[in-house]
Amino acid sequence: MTAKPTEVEIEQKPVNRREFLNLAWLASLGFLTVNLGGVTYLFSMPRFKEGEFGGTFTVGRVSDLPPAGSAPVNYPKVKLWLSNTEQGLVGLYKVCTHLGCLYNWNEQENIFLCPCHGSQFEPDGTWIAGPAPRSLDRFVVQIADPESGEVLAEAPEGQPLSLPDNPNAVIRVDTGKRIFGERHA
Amino acid sequence: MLNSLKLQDLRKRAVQALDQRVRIITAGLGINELRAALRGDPPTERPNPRYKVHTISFLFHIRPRYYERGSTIFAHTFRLGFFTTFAFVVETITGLILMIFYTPSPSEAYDSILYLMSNVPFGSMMRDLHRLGAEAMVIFTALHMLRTFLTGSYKKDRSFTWLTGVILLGITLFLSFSGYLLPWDQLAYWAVTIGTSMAEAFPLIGDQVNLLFRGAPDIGAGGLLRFYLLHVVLLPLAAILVLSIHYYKVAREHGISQPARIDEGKASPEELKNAKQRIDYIPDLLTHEVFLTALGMFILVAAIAFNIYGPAPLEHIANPQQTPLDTKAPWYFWWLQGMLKLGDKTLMGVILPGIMTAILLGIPYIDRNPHRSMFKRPWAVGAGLLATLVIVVLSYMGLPEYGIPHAAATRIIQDMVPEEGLGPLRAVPFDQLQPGVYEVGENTPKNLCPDLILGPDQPRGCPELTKIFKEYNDRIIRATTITNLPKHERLPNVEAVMLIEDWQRDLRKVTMRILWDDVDTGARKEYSRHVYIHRDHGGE
Amino acid sequence: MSRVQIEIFLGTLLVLVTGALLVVYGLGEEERMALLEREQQARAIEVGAELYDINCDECHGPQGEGVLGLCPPLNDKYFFAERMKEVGWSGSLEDYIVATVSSGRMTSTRPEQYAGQGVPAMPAWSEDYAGPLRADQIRNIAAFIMNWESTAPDRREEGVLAGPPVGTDITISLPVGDPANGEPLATAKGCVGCHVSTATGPAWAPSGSTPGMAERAALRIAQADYTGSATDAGQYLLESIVSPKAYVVEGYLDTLMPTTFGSTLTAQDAADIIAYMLTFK
Repeated sequence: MTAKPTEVEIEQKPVNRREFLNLAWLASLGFLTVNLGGVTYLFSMPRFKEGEFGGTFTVGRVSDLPPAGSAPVNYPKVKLWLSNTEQGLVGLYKVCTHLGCLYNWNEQENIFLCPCHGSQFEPDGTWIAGPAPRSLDRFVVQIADPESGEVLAEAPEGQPLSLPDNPNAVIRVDTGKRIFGERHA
Repeated sequence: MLNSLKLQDLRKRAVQALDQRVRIITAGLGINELRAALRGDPPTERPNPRYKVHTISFLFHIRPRYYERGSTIFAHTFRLGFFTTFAFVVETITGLILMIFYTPSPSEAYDSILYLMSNVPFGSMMRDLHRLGAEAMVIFTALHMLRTFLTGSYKKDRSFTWLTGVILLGITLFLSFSGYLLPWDQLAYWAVTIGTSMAEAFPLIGDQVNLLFRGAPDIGAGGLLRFYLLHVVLLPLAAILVLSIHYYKVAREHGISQPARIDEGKASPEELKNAKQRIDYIPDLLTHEVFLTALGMFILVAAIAFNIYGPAPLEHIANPQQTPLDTKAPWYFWWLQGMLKLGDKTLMGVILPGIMTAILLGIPYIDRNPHRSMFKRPWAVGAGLLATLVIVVLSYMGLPEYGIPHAAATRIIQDMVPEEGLGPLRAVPFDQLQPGVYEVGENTPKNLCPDLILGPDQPRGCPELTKIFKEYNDRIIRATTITNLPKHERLPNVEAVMLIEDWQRDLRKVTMRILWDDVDTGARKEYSRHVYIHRDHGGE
Repeated sequence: MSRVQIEIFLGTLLVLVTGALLVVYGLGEEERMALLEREQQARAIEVGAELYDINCDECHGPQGEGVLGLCPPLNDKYFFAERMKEVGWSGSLEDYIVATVSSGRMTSTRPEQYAGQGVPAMPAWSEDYAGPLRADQIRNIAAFIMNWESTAPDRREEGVLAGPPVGTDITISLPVGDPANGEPLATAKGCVGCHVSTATGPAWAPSGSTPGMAERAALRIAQADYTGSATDAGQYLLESIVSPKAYVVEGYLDTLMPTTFGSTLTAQDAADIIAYMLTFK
C-alpha cells in the first residue's frame, strides 16, 4: 500500500537557469511530438487516383445513359447507382444510410430495397420507409466537355443534374465528395 | 589445475560448481533449496532465497513474493484475472503460429485459411484454438471486471489499476474485432463494415477516422492490411504494456484485495489472522498456477478434440458487392448492434458508448462510498447488475431476428436455405434430396419418397427431406390461413414449391419459390431462391 | 494429501491426458484434412454452379451443351479429351478454362460452327481485364465445368442432317409435326440453351400472366409493331426460328439468336418443334 500523504507545501524557489532550460526543452519536445503526429497522420491517410473509389470516376457519355425514368445503373467498383430521374441525373452512394449494407434495386416495385433491415428508397434516393434515418447519400455529378475535360455543369449539393444537349458530353462522378442525404421526419 | 586436485576435493568442487550454476539459472536457489521447494519444505537459508528470485529474475520480477491467504480464496477471485492472462498467452502463441500461413491480402487471405485447414497438420486446431481463446479472453475480461466491481476492489489505491483494466477491456475488444476481419469471408467483411461504419459517425472527424482505419472509404486491401497490423503488432504491444502496468500494481503495490468482510471487519480474529497469513509464491502459488494452466490447456484441447463448441466458422469469400441477409456482429458487439437499431448512428454508436466508457473509467471517482462490502453499497451493486442486465437485453435486440420486419416469404426461405451458413436444407443427407417437384398443398409432407431404398441398414424413404418439407409446408400454411398476423407475415393466396433437380454429377439444384398476393394492392408477388448442393458439401 | 499435492497430481494427469488427446487427434489429421479438401472442392463446385448460371449459361447452355452457331459445348468428351490438343494448349484443361474465361476470345477459333457474340467472340471476364469476376470466382467456374468430365457424352454429331434443310422460306408447307419428338429436339438443337427453362416449366410454357407459346405467337403477329410476314401462329414460329431478324420482340437484342437454323434443321425437325410449342396454350 502507498503511504498516506502528509502535509505538502510547495517551496517558494525562483526558477533557476537549469530548470528554465529543462522546461524549454520539454516544451520543444512537445512541439516535436505534435510535429511527428502530423507526419504520422499524413503518412497514414490514403490518397485516391482517378477511377478508384474515392476519386473521380468517368461514367461515360450522355448518349450512353438509359432514358429518364428507367431503372438505375449499377457501377459496383465505385459503389455507385446512377439514377436518371425525371428531374435529372443523380449519383447515389451504394451504401444504405442505416448501418452500411448495400441496398438493391427492386424492379417490381421500382424502389431501392435494403436486405439488412428493409429500408426503402425512391429511385432518386428519397427515403420511403424503414429504419434508415436519412435519404440516400449522393455524389457530386459533373458534366464535362469531351475534348477539353472542362467541367460544363456540376451538382455540388448533389441535386439532380439536368442533362445537356450535347450527346458526347462526358459524365463524371466524384466519389470522394459525398453529400449526406436529408434526414426525414 | 588438474594436478593440484585431490580426489575427495574433486567431488566437493563439482558439487560447488553445479550448485553455483543452478543458483545462476534459478536466480538464487541452490540445489538444496530447489529440492526443498519441490518437496514443500521450508526455506533452507536465511534470508529466504525464494524472495530474492523476484528481485533478480526478469521473468519473475513481475510476480509477487507472496499473496495473503485471504486474497487467494477461490470464491473471491475465481481466478478470472489469471485466466484472462492465460487466454491472452494462448492467443499470442496460436497467433504467432497462424501467422506462418496467413496472408493479409484480399486475394489471398481466404485461400490461405482454406489451405491452413486442409493442408496443414493441426491447422484447423490452431485456428479453432485461436478462436476459442479469443472468445474466452473476452468473457474472462468481462467477468473479471464484474467481479472486481462487485467486490469493490477498485477503490482508493486501486483506482489506477481499475483504469488500466478498463483500457485493457477496450484493447481486448478491439483485438477481437480486428482479428475478426482477417479470414475475409462474408461474416468477417460485413460485421466489420457495420462496426466501422460507426467510425464515420464520429462528429467532425468521422471521415478522417474512417479513412485512417479502412485505408479507403470502404474496406479493401488497405483496410485489411491496417487491421492486420493493428491486430498483430500495435494492439498486442499495447496490451502487453498496459497488462504489465496493471499487474505490476497488483503484484507490487497493493496486492490482490482481501474479501470485503475481512477487510472491513465482520470476521472473527481467528479468521483475520488466517487471512493475513502469507503464502509464498515459490513454491505453492507457482504450483497452483501451473495447475490452472494445465487445466486451461486441457479444457481448450478437449473442447476442440471433441468438437464441443463447433469449428471456427468460415462462410463464403467476402463479396463487397453483396450484403447477405441476417448479417450480424460478433456476439460481444450484439449490444452495440441493438443500440444502433434504437436510433441515430452518431448518438447510439459514438456518443452513448463514449459516455458509457467514460463512466466505466470514472467509477472509482464517482463512487464516494468508502465501503467495499456488497451489502454496504446497494446503489453501486444495483447499478452494476442493472448495467449487466441492460447489456444482455441490448444484445438480444442486436440479433437479426429482433425488430426487423422481413417479409414472410423472405423469412421462411432464408430460414430454410440461408445465404450463409448450413441451414436445415443443406443438412439433409444428399441421397435424400430426391429430384422432383414438391408443392405445398399438393404433396402431403409425409413419407415423400416411399420407394427410395438407400441401403440395407438405412430406413426406407427420405425422412430428413420430409421433415424439412413439412416445416416449409407448415410455415406457409400458417402464413396463409391465420388472418390476424402482422401484415408482413401474411401470404394470401399462396403457391409454394420446392423443386429439386439433378444438375451435375453429385450436384443437385434446389429451388424454393413462393408466390402470393400483396396484402395491400393484391398484385401477385414472387420470391425465390435457388442453391446448389454437392454431395461432399460437409457440415458447418 | 494436502491441497497442493492434489493439484500436482491432477496437474500431471491433465497434462498426460492433454498429450494423449493431441496424439489421438493427430492420428486422425490426414483423414480430416483429406475430408476438408473434398469439402472445399465441393463448395467450389457449388459456387461455380451459381456463377455459371448467372454468367455463362446464356451462351454455353445451362448444362454446358452449347448453342450451335453461338457457343461451343463444354460438357462433351471432345472438350475433355481433345480440345487442348487441337488448339495446341500445353497446360492443364483447368488452366485452359481459367485462361479463356479470364481473357476471353477476340475472334472465334471455329467461326463457322461457333461464331460467338461478334467482336469479341467471348468477352473477357477477369477483373484484370475490366471484367466482372475475381480470380477465385473464375477458378470456381472452372471447378464446376470440370465436374462434367465424368458424365461427358460423346461429341454431338454436327452437320449431318437426316434430310434436306428446311431453308428460310416460311411460306412452304411443313409435314405434320409430332410434338412428342419436338420436345427432345428443343433440347438437342440447343433451343433451351438460350430459351431457359423456369421452375414452372420450359420457356414456351405459360407463366404468371404470360400465356403459352401458341397463344403468344398468335398475339405477336397481331401486334402493331410486327415487322415479319407470318400469317398464323405456326408460320410465326417457323419465321422466328429460320429468320429471327424478321421481327425481334421489343427489349431483346437482334444479335442474339443464331440465323443458321434454316440450314441445320430438316423440315420434319422444324415441324416437330413447332408442333411441340403449339401444345402450350
